Order: sequence, then C-alpha cells, then structure tokens
Amino acid sequence: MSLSIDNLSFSRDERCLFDNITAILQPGQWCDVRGANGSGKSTLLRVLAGLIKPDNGHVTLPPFHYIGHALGLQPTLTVFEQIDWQSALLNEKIKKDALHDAIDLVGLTSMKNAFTTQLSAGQQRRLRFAILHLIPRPLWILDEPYTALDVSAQHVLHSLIEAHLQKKNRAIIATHHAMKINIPPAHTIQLEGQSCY
Amino acid sequence: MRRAWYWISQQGLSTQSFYKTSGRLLPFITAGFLVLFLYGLIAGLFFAPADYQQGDGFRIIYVHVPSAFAAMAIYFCMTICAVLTLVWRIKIASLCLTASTSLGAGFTFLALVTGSIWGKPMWGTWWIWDARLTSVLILFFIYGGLIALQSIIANKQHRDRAVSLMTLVGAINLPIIHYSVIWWSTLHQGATLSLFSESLIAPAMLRPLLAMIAAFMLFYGMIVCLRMRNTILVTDMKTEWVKKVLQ
Amino acid sequence: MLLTLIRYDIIRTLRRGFSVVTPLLFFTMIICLFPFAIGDNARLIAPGIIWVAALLAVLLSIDTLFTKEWETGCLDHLLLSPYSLTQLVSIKLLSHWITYSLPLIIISPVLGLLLHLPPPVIKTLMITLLLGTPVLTLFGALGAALMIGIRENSVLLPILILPFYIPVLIFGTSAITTPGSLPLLGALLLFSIATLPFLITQALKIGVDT
Repeated sequence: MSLSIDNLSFSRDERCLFDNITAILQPGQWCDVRGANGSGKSTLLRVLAGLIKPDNGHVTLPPFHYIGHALGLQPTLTVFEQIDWQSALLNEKIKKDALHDAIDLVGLTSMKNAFTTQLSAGQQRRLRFAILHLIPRPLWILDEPYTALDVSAQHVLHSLIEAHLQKKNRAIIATHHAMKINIPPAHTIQLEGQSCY
Repeated sequence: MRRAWYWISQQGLSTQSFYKTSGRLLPFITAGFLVLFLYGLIAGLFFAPADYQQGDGFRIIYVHVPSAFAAMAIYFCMTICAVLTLVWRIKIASLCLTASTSLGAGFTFLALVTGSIWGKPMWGTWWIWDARLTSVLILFFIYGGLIALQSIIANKQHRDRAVSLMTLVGAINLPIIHYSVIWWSTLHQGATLSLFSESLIAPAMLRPLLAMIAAFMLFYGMIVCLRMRNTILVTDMKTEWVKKVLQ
Repeated sequence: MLLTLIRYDIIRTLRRGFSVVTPLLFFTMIICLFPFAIGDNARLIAPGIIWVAALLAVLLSIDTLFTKEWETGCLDHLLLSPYSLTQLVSIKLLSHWITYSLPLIIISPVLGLLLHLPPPVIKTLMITLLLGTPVLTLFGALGAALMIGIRENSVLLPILILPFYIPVLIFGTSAITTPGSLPLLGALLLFSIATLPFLITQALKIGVDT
C-alpha cells in the first residue's frame, strides 16, 4: 500500500491554513507535523483522515488509525466494553487474552471494569493506545499524542510507536515539541509562517 | 471537461465577475420593475373591469397572486442554488441562497395576509384549514426554520451547506402546494393561470396580473443582487479588485 | 458485528439513567394536562392529544442524538469505520426508536383508557403510532444531525423540524378516523426510510467537515 500526499491545500473563512503540502512515506518511516497552536496541524490531520475535504490536492492512504483531540471514546462504556465496541465498529474480532494483554500493557489492569468517565485524561489516552496495539493498521495518524501523558505513559507510547515502525508500518504525528523516539522522522511538515499566495 | 467545468465554477462564476455583471444589469432590472409595477398597479386598480361575482374586492388578486407566485418561485430558485452549493460548491449560488430566505419568507407572509383579507368577505372567514392554505403556512414555517438556522451558524461554509440541505428537504412541499387544489377539493379556488391552456380570466384583468407577477420577481432579483453585492464586498474586502472598486 | 453495535447503542442509552424515561414521563404528563384544561370533552379529541404528545416526546428525546457523539469525537470514528455511515446511522436510529418510541406506544393504551377511548380506536391509534413514530424519529434525527457543531441550539431544532412533522400528524390522526389513509401513512414511512438516512448522513458530514 502506498502513501502519498499530493499538493494539498486548505483555507477556512478566507484564511489560508496550508498550501501545497506534498509528502511520500515509505514503509517504516514517519512524518512529523510541526507548528504552533492554531497553525492548522489538527486540520491537516483531519484532512488526511478524510474527515475534511481539502480545497485542492488529494491523499492516498492505507487503512489507518486516527487519534484526534477528542478521543472518540463512549463515556458510558467500561474499558472492556469500549474495546469491544471499537473493534465491532472496525469490523475486527479480538481474542480475549490478547485484549487482557493489551490492557496490561498500557497499565489499565486495575481499571478494567471502570467506566470511561471514571478514567483520567491520561488513562483515556492509554485506553486508545490499547486499541492501537490490538487492531493492526499500517498507518497511525496521531494528533498531539503527548497530551495529558505522565512519564510512564510516554514510555508506553514510545515503545508502541517504535514497535509499529519496526514492523514496516508508517505514522504521521503532529506535535508542538519533538517526539522522543529513536527513529528520526523521514519528513517534517512545518506549518507556521507559510505564505499561501 | 472536468477542468473546464472547474474553471467555469471558480472563475466564470467568481464573485468578482458576478459583481461586474450584476452591476451592469441592475439598472435594467430596476427600470423594468418600476415600469411593470406602476403599470400593473394602475391598470389593475383602475382600468381592469370589476369581477361580476366579487366586485372590486377581487382586485387584491394583484398583490395576492404575485406574492404567492414569488413565495414559491423563490423557494424553487433556492432549491437550485442548494444543489449548486452542495454538489459543485459554487460560491455565488450559496450567496444567492442566503440572500433569498428572508425575501421568500416576506412574500409568503404577504400571500397569507392578503389571502386572509380576501377570504374574510368572500368565504366569510379569515382562515380555513384547507390543503392550500395549510401547505403555504408550512412553507412559511420552513422559511422561518431556514432563517433561524442561517442566523445561528457562525462558520460560513457550514452555514451555507446546512441551509442548502434543509432547503432541499423542504422542496418536497412545493409540489404539495401546487397540486393541493387539485388533489384535495378545497375551499381555495383552482389555479387561475396556466401555461399550456387558456387562462380562466379576461385579458383586461390578465395583463396587469402578469405585469405584477413579473414586477414582483424583478423586485426579488433586484434585492437579491444588492444583498449579494454587499456580502461580496464584505467577504472579499482584502482582495485587490474590491480595493479598486471602493476607491 | 452490527448486532454488537445495536446492543451497545441500547446499553449506552439505558446507562444514561433517569433521562431515558424523561420523554415517557413528559408524554404522560402532557396527556394528563388536557382533561384539566378542557374537561370531559378531551375524550373527543383524545387521539389527537396522544399524537401531539407523542410528537413532542420524540422531539424532546432526539435533540442530543448526535451532539454527544460529536463532542466525544465518536462521530469521527463512525465516519472512519469500514461500515457506511448510513448503515451506522440506521442502527443508531433503530436503537433510539426501540428505547424511546416503543415505550410510548406500549403505554399509549393506558393513556387511551384514561381519556375514555374505546378499545378498537386504541388499537388503530397504536397502529398509527407504530407507523408514524419512526417517521418522527427520522425527521428529528435529520434536525439533530444539523445541530452538531452549533452552540445555543435549544429552540432551533423544533423550529426546523416541526414543519415536517405536520404532514405526519395529519396522516397519523386522519388514519384513526378514516382507515383509508393508513396506507398513506405507510407510504410516508417507507419514503422516509428510503431517503432520510442518506440525508442524515450528509448532514453529519456537513457538520464534521468544517
């Protein structure tokens, strides 16, 4: 499966957010999207995920996971049910023991039967990471993955991303400070101070 | 072909070329409106013969029928704009759509009020829940909903597309209004005018009526053009051509 | 898989606690207002009262149908699912109808008796509600889908949607007195099922794509 971003541009309310974004990612590579708050990082990722139509250009992506600002978790489901629901939504079957392993891996063992609303923001992120781990997808699109993470959760995230990339998968990650992973980004898209005209 | 169409939708139908063309057309539209309106008003109120059943009371037809016609024609026009907005994202179509809603609501209100004033002496009641009146009332409510929706959404693109979608859904009411006098036997009389068969009205009464209908539509065109031009100047304020126009 | 999704939709609604029965309570209380306001004559217009109350109850239940999904970001994931959004929306509407409208229909005979409706009329009334409430849910959902991303929307939804409820109300109540219009109500239901899920999908996409 190929990944190419071709000549993407987008403006909102007569304000240009980005213009002529072009990138190709090979297997095992990741792309770093950098920029200050309000520079259009999240919008770019939503355009890539196909949630927003760009003004111009097009995107070819393999199947992917997308994690945005809002995590997309149902507040009234337990951790266990949440994963079951998400996998049903993605039409994937998950084995019971794999599920337990994943919950252990992200450090939510004691919260297995807690409702999502009872989890802290960081724990909710951990729950999302468990889904990333459980349902393999050749591309991850992550928007500010560091938000609300403590040190141990950051380690979990780093090892997940590294393992993901080592399996010849790809990732597009938006951050406003550098990702502390051992693999350097193959591309950097810098989103501030671009002139659109 | 796609590229050609893209060019037409982006350049040929650009706000700038609309501004230029509408600027040239507006004097003619205004003149046409004034001439037809004055002719229709004078001929309708003073020269057309009185109706043998309704006497002079029938003369309210010169306001009632044109406004009812405009109420539906504007909605029809909005439906076309809605399709152009949703499918091809043509900017001036969405401008036309949002400029039309309150005019449509106004004409519908006028049609309801004049109809009610006409109904009191002729039918003996201000209002009757028959199919034609009810469906026009629903049209008025739909216009109201669209105006509310339009006024509450801040993001322009979001607003235009949401209003377009709702306009399309409401368009189902148009055939119901039109055929209501045929499908259900109602108190409201059948259509007076028809494109394909002879009209059921004397030519001396008909000519002012047609003039008034045309005048109402020209008035609509005039106001919509003015509103669209205003909006274009505001939204394109930072572009070079607007700066030139405003100097 | 789709069954799992329906199951979770219903579980989630039931876990919302008391708010699940609010529309049902509202329905009952609205109907009980009429005998106080118009005395014994209420029985003459009982089918109409029950229909209007059901209509308002459905409207009340539906306004946050999609706003929660939008705020939590779940709507993004519905869009990214391999299932089509129209499929997922239909599932959601089905479970919404089961949890909110079905109880109204089930309780309607009791309320009919309170208003002294004869049993055969109650039976027809239930049939019309069975055919009519899905149409109300579908149109309401269209409005709810347009509400995502709009703040201060409290009265907008009724204003937007009630014009479209009028035909349903006309056909629904006339089917009680003249059984001939029952097929018309059925036709309206089929037409709504055929067209509205698609339109709701489009409305959701408009809300997300901004």
